[in-house]
Amino acid sequence: MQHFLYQIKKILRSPMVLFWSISFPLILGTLFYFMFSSLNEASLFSRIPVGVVGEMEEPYFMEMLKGAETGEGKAMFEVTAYERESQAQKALKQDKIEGYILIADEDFELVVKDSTVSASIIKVFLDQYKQNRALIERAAAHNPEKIQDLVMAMLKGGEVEIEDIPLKGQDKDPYNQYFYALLAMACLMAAEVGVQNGLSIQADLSPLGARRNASPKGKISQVVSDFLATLFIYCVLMAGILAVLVYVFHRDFGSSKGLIFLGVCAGCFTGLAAGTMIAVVFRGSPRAKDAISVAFYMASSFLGGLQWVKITYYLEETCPIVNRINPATLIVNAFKSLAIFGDVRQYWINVATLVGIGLLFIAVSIVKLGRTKYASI
Amino acid sequence: MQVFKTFFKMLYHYRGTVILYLCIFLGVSLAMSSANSVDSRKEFENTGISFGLVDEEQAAFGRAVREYFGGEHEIKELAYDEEKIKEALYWKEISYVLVIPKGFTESLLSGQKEKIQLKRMKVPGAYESDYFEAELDMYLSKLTGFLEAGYNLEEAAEELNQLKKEDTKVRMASFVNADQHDFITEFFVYVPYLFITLGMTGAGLILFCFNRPGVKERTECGAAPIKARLLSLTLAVLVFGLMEFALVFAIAGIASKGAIFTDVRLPYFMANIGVMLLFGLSLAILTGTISSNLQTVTGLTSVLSLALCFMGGTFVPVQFFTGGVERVARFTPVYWYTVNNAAIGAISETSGGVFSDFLPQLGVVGGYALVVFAAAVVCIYHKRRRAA
Repeated sequence: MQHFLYQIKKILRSPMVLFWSISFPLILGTLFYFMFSSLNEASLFSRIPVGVVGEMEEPYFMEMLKGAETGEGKAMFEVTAYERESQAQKALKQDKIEGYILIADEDFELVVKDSTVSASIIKVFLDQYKQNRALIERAAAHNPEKIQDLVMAMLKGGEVEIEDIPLKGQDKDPYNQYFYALLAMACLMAAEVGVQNGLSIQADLSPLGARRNASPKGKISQVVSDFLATLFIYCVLMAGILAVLVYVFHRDFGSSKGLIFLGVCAGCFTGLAAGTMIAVVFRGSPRAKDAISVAFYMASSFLGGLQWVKITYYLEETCPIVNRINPATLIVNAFKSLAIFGDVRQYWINVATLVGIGLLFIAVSIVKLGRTKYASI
Repeated sequence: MQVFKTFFKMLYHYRGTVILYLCIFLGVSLAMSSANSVDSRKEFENTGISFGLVDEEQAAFGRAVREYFGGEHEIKELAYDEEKIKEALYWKEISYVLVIPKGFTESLLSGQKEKIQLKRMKVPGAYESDYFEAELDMYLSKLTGFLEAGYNLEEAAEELNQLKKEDTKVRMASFVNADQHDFITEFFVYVPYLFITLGMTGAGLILFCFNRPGVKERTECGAAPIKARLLSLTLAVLVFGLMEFALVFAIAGIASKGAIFTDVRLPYFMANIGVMLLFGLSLAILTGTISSNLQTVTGLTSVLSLALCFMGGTFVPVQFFTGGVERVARFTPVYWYTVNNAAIGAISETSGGVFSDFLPQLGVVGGYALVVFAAAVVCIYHKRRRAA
């Protein structure tokens, strides 16, 4: 118990590592909060600027284009007519329009700059127009007796309702995954403190380590005390960060708060265990071990989707084993399984794997430490 | 010269650490750019998804759906097992699940659509599933229109298959470079992340060692005046930067099989990357100057690199930024680099490009580099005066 309390005092008196562990998720979390709130607004529909070059004989085309509305009754397109293609091309180049419709011989083609969502929406609208026109032409040619019924039926709009079978989670925000990955990285940053713990018990790497090796208290019990004290502080800190994400930034981590906190604790446990193992197993200077721990949590966070959310899907297709053993992915997936899918079984699989990896790291560290003997201290 | 040499001796001493960071950050950049790049995208792309079909009635409607959507999308036949379906959605094996309950075709043909309804499962907010559902809605709307007009289901399905061929021709504008999303352009998007992280953890780490207590005091007692020391260190950092610059273009050269060196876009890319490099190095000098311990170097690197790159459009495309976010993003140099990179990527042989189009953005990034460097110099003099 005394070691436990000393370790807590020691960590609290050297707050630089803890400062970065707290400030990193808070600073980036604030940034994500403002950025992704705005992106959500951006995903709401706004009028797509589109150019038209030439004229159709039938007047309905322009009327339909200008009158097209979204489900919420907002105008879909902002239409600008150009006399010459070069004018439309210039506007497209200057990003004034998303694309232009080139009309020639009662047919049209769409000219765009890139395969964007806006370009796809313009294409879908034009496809509909073309298909409806073809539909009437075909009906007139093959079934002229049905043409009136068909036009009436189309105008009436025969909608088929599709019943939703909801997933049990409540998270509707695709950008929440960035917050999950951010929290995963904050948990794994515990590896840096784990390295300090591992160094402080090795007699050849620090004077403190030499003194502790000379003490009558067993090495393994000192390591366990250090580990538990650090884990305790980290769990308290992460609880605070989680509270900020949930109550200040209104992020949805699922309804079961106990399980969410347990997931965070499991993440910190594995991060700390990884740091301890890096300090004990790898040879080299303290600086090199520190660099390996940074590389560990940076690489793990990248594979967990911090910089690029889709990487987990990409890995699932190419190398699924990475998703099953990468600590950051396991933390993110544990949160996702609760928040999106409401799936407790998947959550437990992820957390159990995470804890299993942590235990493996600790076992390796203990075996290595137990075998380390010093000729002279 | 002694200070200059010492910088590289220390770089050699820390080579393991620097190479480790290089591998991580380069790996991140290469992985993202290779996944996001599309070589020679000359044609407009339609989005196809993988969707699950639970056909509980095995009747005409299911066959029609398979025939209509089977060409463009991948259909996976599933049994109705909610747990397994959730797992498939969870691992993104499928993006959408359509359930055709028993008796649906009959209720559709009898005009009682609300009697037995189709069901779906999807991950909320996923773009692919929304896109597919819009297509499915249009299909169902036309199908019911045909049925109400007196067609039978087979006739209606056949009419819809014929109509599907009536799609709009889409072409890329003539001024667009077919390689605007090639590997090189995509790789260069991630260069700021590489320069900032590698600069701060490489040059920043060594400069921090120069400023460590003990080392700094001994250096102050040396014969070399501060101006000479600063000049030597700045030169050493610039040479370190040149190594980063050469590395980036070596990778680009290997990836493009040498094509980049004859590409019309090369001088523009070089100028854009050059000023970004200066900014990354200035940040490294500032980090090395103000950091009091190694945790600060690592912490500053993690926070600044991710914050600047997220705000600058490296990880989330600039096109998604709106209103306030875009206004704030304009204050970051990475934003101007990204905007320039996209514009340079789109330059083609025919459209050409002129430096004046890119100069204002280059000026902004260069200006930031200068300001950060000036701040570092002020910090050095301020610290020195305080210590005296």
